Amino acid sequence: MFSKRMVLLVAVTLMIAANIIFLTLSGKNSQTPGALGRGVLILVYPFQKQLTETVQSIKDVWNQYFFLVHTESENRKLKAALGKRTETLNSCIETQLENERLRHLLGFEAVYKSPMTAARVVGQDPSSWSKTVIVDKGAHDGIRKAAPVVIPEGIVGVVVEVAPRNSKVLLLIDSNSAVDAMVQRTRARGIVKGGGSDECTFKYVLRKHEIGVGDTVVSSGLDGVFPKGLRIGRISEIVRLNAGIFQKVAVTPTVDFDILEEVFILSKPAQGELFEPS
Amino acid sequence: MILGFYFILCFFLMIFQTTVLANLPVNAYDLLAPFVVYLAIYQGPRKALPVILFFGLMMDGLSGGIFGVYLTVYLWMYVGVRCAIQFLHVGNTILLPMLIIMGIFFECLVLAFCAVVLSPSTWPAEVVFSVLASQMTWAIFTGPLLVILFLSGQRFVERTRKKMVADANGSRDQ
Repeated sequence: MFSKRMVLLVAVTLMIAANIIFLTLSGKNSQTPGALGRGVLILVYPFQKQLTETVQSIKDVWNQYFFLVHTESENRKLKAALGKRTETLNSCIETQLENERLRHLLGFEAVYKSPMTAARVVGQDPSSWSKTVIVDKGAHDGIRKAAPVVIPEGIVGVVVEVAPRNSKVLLLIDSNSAVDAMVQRTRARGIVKGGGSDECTFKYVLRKHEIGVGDTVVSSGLDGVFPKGLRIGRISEIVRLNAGIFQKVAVTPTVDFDILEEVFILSKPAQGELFEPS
Repeated sequence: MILGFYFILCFFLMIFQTTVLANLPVNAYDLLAPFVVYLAIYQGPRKALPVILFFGLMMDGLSGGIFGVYLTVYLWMYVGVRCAIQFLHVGNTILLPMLIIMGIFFECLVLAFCAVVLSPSTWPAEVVFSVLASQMTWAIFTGPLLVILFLSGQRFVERTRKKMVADANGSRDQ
C-alpha cells in the first residue's frame, strides 16, 4: 500500500519528532543523570588535571623567563604604586581599629559564618553554549551540591554536580543561573540571570526604583544559596521601557570568567548575611 | 586495534578541548564533530557506533547543557553523512572538505538551536550569531585539516598492525 520511500520518510520524521521531544523534556531539567555525570567527571578528571598543570607550567615558564624584558619598567611602576598603597593601608588600619572599637561599644562582632574550601579550575565546558567549569575538590573534601562558589571579586557560580574528587560548577553567566540580588546603594531588589555571554541581566527591578549605571549589585541572601552581601557586578546599562512595570538592566560581573583559576567553595548553606552579629 | 586508536584519539580530543582550547579566547567548535564525519565516511556502523555512543554520552556528561544533545547530534550527523556519501563522490578534493564543513555546521547549528530554543532561558541574537560565525570560520579553516590528520593516524595504525601480524607469522614459520 505504501512505497518503501514513504515508509522511510515517515520513520525518519517520527524519529526526529521523538528526538526533539526528548531534548525538550531533557532541557526542562537541564542536568545530567547523576551517575553518568559523576562517572564522566571521575574518568576525565585525572587527565584534565595533568593537562591543566602542564599548560600552567608552560605558562609560568613563559611568564617568568620570556616576559622579563618588561620587568624592570614594571618594577619601577609597582614600587611607586606600593608607596601609595602603603599610605592607603595605614589609613585603612586606622579605620579598622576605629571600627573595632565602635563595634565593641555596640556589642557587635563580625563573624564569618561559612568555612571555605579552595579549589582549582581543571576543566571547562566543551560547548560554547553552556558555561560550567570543573574544579578539583569533591565530596571527599566536603563539597555538596548547590554550594555557592566565590572569589574575592564576587560570585562565581554554584556547584551542580559532585564527584568524589571533583565537582562541576555552573557559572553565574550561564543562561540557567539565577541569583536573588539587590542594588547596594538603593536596596532595589531583583534577580540576576546569566545571559550566556559575558553579561548578566538584572530582572524584575521595578520602574519606581532609582538605580544608576555603575551601581554595584550584591546578593540579597534571600535565595537560600548565596550569603547576603556578595558582589555580583556593576550595572552597565538601564533601559526604561514605556510599557511594563520593570526596568531592563544589564549587569557586568565583577568576576572575570576568562581567567578563572582558583575559586572558594562555601561549605555551609547561606543563612542570612555573610557577616552577621554574634 | 583501530577501535583502541579511536577511543584514545577521542579521549584526547575531549580532554584537549575542555582544558587547553577552552582557555583560548576563541569560540572553537567541538573537535569531535569532524571525527564523527570522518567515521561516517571511512568506517561502517559496527566500528563507528560504539565510539559515537560512548563519546556522545561522555560529552553530555561533561557539558552543562541539555542532556542528550551531543549524542543526538553525533548520531544524526553519522546517519546524514552516510546517506550523503551514497550519491557524493567523497574522493573529490572539493566535495570532501565541503562535506566535513557541512557536518561541523550542522553540529554548531543544532547545539545553538538547543541552547536558544529548547533551553529555559533566552540568548541575545547578536551573541548567537557571533558565536556561530566564529565557530564556522574555524571550521572552514581547520575541519578538513583535522580529518586529514585522523586519516593519517588511521593509516599509521593499520600499517603497524599489518607489520605486527607479519612479524608474528614470520616468527611462527621459523
